[in-house]
Amino acid sequence: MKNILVIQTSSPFDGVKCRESLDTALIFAAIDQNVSMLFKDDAVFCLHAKQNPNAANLKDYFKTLKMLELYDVENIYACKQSLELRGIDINNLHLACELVDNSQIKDILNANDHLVTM
Amino acid sequence: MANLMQTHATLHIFSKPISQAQYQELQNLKNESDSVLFTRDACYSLLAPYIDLDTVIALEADCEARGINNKAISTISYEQWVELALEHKNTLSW
Repeated sequence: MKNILVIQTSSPFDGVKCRESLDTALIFAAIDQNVSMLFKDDAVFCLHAKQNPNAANLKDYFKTLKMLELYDVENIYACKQSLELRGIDINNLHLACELVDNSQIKDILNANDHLVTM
Repeated sequence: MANLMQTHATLHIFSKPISQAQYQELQNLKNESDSVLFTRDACYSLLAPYIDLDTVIALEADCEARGINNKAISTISYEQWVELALEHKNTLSW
């Protein structure tokens, strides 16, 4: 079993990048790898509460995000600095996640066997 | 159509999240009579502390899609966007 970190950096409305990252994480989880996910840069917009992509005629990616819990992906991290810079309310996030600062992110990068970005 | 046009005003249109540096760049280039419109992912920047909400307009559907519902933000429909574009001499997409 390998420790794999999937890193998201794109906004949830920026093409299919977020969806593909999520699929990748779920596939690794399905074959019993130890998967973690990190939301960084514009990907922290995925964590903003009460979004309704149907208003823009798009499929609801935010519902699919909840699949992480279903697949027992327990280590979900969000970059604290990215959240603060963008003014996202950390007390009301769409997904339960651990807020990490840059030094903690360095440790997480070191602790994993593989790092995946889209 | 000509009576709609404000002479020399520009409509600045953003469609991606705006960094503080880029917002400063806008302040440097924008005239008093210009308007600023946020569409698509630019609507997320309405959460950012450095954006002055009184000076920007946002597209209603894009705000709703992204869970932005601050009452202080003035929002417009797609039809009003067309009118706004006609009221300005130029549009500038950042």
